[in-house]
Amino acid sequence: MRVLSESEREAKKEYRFIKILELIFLALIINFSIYFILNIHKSDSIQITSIIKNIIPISGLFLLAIGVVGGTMYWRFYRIPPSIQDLLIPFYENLGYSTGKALFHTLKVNISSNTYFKIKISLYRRISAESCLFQLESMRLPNALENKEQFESVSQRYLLSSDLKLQKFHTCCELSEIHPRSLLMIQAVEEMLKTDPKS
Amino acid sequence: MMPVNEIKSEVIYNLVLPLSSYTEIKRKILLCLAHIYPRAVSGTQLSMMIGYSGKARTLYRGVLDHLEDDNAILLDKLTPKLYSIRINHNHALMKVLIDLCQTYGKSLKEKYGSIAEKGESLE
Repeated sequence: MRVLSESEREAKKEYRFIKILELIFLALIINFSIYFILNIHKSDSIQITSIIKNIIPISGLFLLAIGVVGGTMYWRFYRIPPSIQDLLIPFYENLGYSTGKALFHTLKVNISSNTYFKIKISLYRRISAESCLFQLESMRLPNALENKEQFESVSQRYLLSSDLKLQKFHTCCELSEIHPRSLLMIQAVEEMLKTDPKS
Repeated sequence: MMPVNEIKSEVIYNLVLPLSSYTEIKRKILLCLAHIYPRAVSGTQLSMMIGYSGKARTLYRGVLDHLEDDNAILLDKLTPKLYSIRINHNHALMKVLIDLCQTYGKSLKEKYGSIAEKGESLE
């Protein structure tokens, strides 16, 4: 439980950090917009332009913008907090599965060379008082369309939702549910793939 | 409804396995709704029945969405703030849970019922 609460705290910290980066990013955009608008119009507000130029050294601001954009992109779209990574990756590796990171805080768990499922991580959801939320999504199951009933039955057996259009199972879960729910997802994927496509 | 003594151990296992993967609050909600089936309840009534304050709606708002996504419950939006919540009796596992609770949980059903009535009078 200690690990879970630490991970939750870290998820909150990371979320706040991302929000701060986004705010700085927004502030920079506003600053640049004011600067360029005043420059383009070359209006009678020369005094304002010179004030802004004096306050904001534009070359430094440009370098800062590149840093902030890079940092925001990395934190917003790729980075998974280390404690959550430590909580997830060893679990799947102990089961004999390999893992890989993907864009948008996604962890891909390879059950075998061509079987996998994805874990999409939302760091913080204020509305439901959750500090971290995971969405498990199976790979596209090619025999789902031929076996609609089996697809539906497997999804019900493991309390997952099924999307016949996408031919995928998916479910949302919290940090404390992630291990048992992903085991169910693995079983559901394996069971579905065992089904004879022609049956 | 299937007679409970005909429910196989395998079916019970298939019910217990995914239920155990849920958090405590989700299990409480499902057990409560299975006991009071076919009754639908509001958010306030449900939170009172599972031991939370009737005002603590934010505690379970996301949780209910997850359960609805997994087709375990049915959420009907009566007004923007008022939901009617009931267990999904068309779901194979929920059917088994309903059968078990309705057969063996008659006393608990009455207790849940009295809490629901109190909740109703508060709304």
